[in-house]
Amino acid sequence: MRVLRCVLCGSCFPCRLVAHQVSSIRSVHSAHWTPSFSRSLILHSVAHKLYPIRVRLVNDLSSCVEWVTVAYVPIVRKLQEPGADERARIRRCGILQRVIYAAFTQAIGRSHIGFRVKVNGQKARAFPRVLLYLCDQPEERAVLGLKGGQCAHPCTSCMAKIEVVGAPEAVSAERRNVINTVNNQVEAYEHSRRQRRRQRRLALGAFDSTSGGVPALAGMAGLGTAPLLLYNMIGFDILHVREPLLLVTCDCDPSR
Amino acid sequence: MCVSFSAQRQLILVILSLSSCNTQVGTMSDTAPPLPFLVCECGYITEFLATLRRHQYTFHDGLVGHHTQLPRRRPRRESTRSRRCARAQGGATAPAAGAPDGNVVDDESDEPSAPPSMGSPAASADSASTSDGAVESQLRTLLELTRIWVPPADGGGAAADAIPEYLYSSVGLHVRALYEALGDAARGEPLVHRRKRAKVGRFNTVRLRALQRFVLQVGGAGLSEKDQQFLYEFLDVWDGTKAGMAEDAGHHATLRSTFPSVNAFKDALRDDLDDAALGAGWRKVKLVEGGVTYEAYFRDVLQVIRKLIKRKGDSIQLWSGPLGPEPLDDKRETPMDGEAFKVCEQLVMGNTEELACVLGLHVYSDSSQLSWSGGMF
Repeated sequence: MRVLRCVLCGSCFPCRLVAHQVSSIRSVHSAHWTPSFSRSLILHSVAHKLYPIRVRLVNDLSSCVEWVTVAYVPIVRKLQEPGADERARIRRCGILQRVIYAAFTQAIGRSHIGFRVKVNGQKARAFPRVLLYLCDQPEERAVLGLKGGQCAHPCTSCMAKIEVVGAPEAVSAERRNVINTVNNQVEAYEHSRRQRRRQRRLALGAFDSTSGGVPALAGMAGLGTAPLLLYNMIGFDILHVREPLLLVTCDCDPSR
Repeated sequence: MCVSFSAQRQLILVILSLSSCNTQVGTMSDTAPPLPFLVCECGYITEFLATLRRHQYTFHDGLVGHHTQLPRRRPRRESTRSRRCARAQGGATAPAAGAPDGNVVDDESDEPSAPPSMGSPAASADSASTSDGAVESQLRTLLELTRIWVPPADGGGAAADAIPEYLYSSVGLHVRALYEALGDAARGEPLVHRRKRAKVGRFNTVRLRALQRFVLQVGGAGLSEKDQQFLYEFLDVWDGTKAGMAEDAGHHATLRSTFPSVNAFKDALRDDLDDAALGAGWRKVKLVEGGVTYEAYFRDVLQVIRKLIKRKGDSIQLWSGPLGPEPLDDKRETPMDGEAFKVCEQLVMGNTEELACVLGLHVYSDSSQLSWSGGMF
């Protein structure tokens, strides 16, 4: 049975999704619900055409954890075309990065220069930082612009080769370099956009196991700049780990 | 009734009749039949089946032998009782004899009536039919006069022996007999069962009937029970009868006093909805990727952060400690105690002369739909 997920709170329902949303909108989601938009999104979510991206402000220490939806990413499906799988993967990654950047444009800019806030009589210049990105394993690779599987470096935070992933040697594997990897991604993307130097593009992709996309969040301070937490921000939500034994796990230490 | 046989069927019947007495049939043979006649138990010989049947009904008071396995005619009294029973149970059957509206339907009408099994649970499966009256009578007569029992041949399992096999005069009759044997219509039961002490017809005014139509028709399928409850609570407020509700200047105003037309009503709704969407800062954008256009929706994260800070000012803490940044430690009570936050905080406060803080963000991507794509990234 297909399980429907509420786009607002993430609750799963085998059926009656719309009834849940209509009722919960009035109670739980009243703070961040807009009537016109939710009406269309409810319909969209039933058809599985969109999925949401939500953010939470960790400085909010109130007892109620509030996730606010900031974007809806269209589902990219495979088309009837030659190389449909590869083309769909490229489209999927491209759409995801573009939507993330569209939503975080101002936040990325302000993460470098800050903006003034006044809270409880205290004034300060605030710098937004993305500290954690909760997702599942396929989207982790998509958000970071890395290959999903069957690549030389399947670990996100280190450069352990696939032969040693899960082995003791992975503990001492070299940490993935944010600057170098993102530079290579940008160069490969520029080649791809101009349809030139295909061999170089493939070599760059194979070197870091990158997929050809550029992570939009790399432009955010703290991720693409010191302390370079781009490859340490991913956290798997336990609800998303449906088959933990099938995940490729690495024994490296991301905190190094 | 006119019963016609093809030459081939005639030949089969003759062969079958000769292979056993009493018009029993046998297996087909390529050899020519020695006696091309149908023979009755009493020795009467005829060439046509119709003549044999006429003889059997005239001199033997009906059929003999295996033909007596045909469905028996249901007593008329039983049929009347079953119809009465059906009316009492469902109340949704077609008009029948003695109906309250004065219309009278006789047994020869084509109107369907209640299945006979409702009033006669002991009826056999063979006697179960989709209708009584004329249709059932005609079908039964057809079967009696034309169906020929085929004795079980060698081979086949127990199921083959348990289900009698017949030859029919036409394929249409064969089809009807097949589905009559299933008895689906006879096993049917009323769609719903009345509630105990049901009160029918309480929507008995113009306004209440309009309300009933709305509840049953809105959205195509009407309202769910939960929505019906919500509607009742709304109407309670709309009527001004809800206990403890506030009153204002428009307490007794009607809908038309504010919205004189449907368009005014729809425009007002649309304006409020659009205002709410614009107020929340939602935008849409068409993204062309690989030659395919997709539409995405987003709003500025920074504006979201600002609104959260404004709305939840009391519970916002700017630094990892209540009075300022705290050093790295093993405390993990809130996300602000994490190393990532404190490292960013140290860097921010070291780089700027102005008092600075970090607004930590957690991003959650509900990407289970992506997983459904097979994770082919």
